Amino acid sequence: MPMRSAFYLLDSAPYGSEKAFGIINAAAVSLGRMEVTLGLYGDGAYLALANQNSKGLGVPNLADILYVYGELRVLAHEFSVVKRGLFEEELIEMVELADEGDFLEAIEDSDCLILL
Amino acid sequence: MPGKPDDIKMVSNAMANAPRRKMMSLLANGDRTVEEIGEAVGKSMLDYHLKILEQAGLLEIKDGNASLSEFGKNFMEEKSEKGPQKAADLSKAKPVEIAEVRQLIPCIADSTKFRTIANMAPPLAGSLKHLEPLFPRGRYSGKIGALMIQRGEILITVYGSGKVTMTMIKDEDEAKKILDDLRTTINRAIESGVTPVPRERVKVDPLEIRKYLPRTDCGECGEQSCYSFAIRLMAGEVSLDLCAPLKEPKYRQNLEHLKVLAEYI
Repeated sequence: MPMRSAFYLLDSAPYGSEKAFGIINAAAVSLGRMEVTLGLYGDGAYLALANQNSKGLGVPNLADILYVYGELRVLAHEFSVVKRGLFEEELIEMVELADEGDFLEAIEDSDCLILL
Repeated sequence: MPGKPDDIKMVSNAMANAPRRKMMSLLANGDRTVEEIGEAVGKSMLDYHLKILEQAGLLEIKDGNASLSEFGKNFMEEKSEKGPQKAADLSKAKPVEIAEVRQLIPCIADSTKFRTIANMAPPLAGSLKHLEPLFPRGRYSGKIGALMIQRGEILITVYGSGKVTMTMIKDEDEAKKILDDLRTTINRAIESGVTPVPRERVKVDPLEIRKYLPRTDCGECGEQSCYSFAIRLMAGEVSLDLCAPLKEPKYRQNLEHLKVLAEYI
């Protein structure tokens, strides 16, 4: 049976390694082939911030890439967002905040869970 | 009442959660007890979600009864895309400029085309909704606060925060030209001070939907034909996800078209 849905989980900070860039690209190339969800957990929640500035880091602005792939479903674990003081910050418009239960349910509902 | 940027962020983030949106919709139809809300929406994290909505100034809770605050009522009315059109107001909007095209990323549907992002300043925020009538195939989405404009095969999305994304772009020159046209159209409306009259929505018919379906009448969706699937899609009884062949790479472009058309249903 073909895989119909995938949950890509990012649990590390966006610019500390290439993980975030890699997982966004992997999720983007899966679009159109299956239902894709990008889940932001732990330090991965920083990727939900709207105003990211990667100038000087020599890497692409990852918020821009999320905007460009507007059809990507992005789910941020709300407690990770709150714990990092990001709830009062401007988040990317298409990011959906999910509590513990809904976040886990989204993982369970997907055919596979992909971590980098 | 929220008005400061930090308060607006709190409201926006409070509404970025499905259970909380359900609670707000429920309360828009009348006051409820906390217990009734729990029965309708689910009791998981109920107190937490209510507290977040209360902190954002959207609702008030007294003696176990919840009701929308005045701000919450206005917010829900403003969000309602089917409600009566309020007098559109562009008086607070200022002429915009478009900053640099920042990313060119290959399109999923066609690798010879690109997706791109630019920035519009100052951000149009709430005024964006009133610009919808300027574009024959434009639709404002209250959920993400963005105006989506279909121009041929190109989809332009203008966010209230000032971000502008485009799909199916040939090259940077084309992106710049489209952005320039967009800026001119918006600034003309702002400078004239005349608010665009809300127009009738673009009508999509089942034949147009069928044109982009695989037209194989495979029946995998449970319908007898692609045409009957199109009719049920128009009626909101099925979603595009049910059409399995559409997920094949060769139909990617069709799927993008259909997603846009679905916005007008």
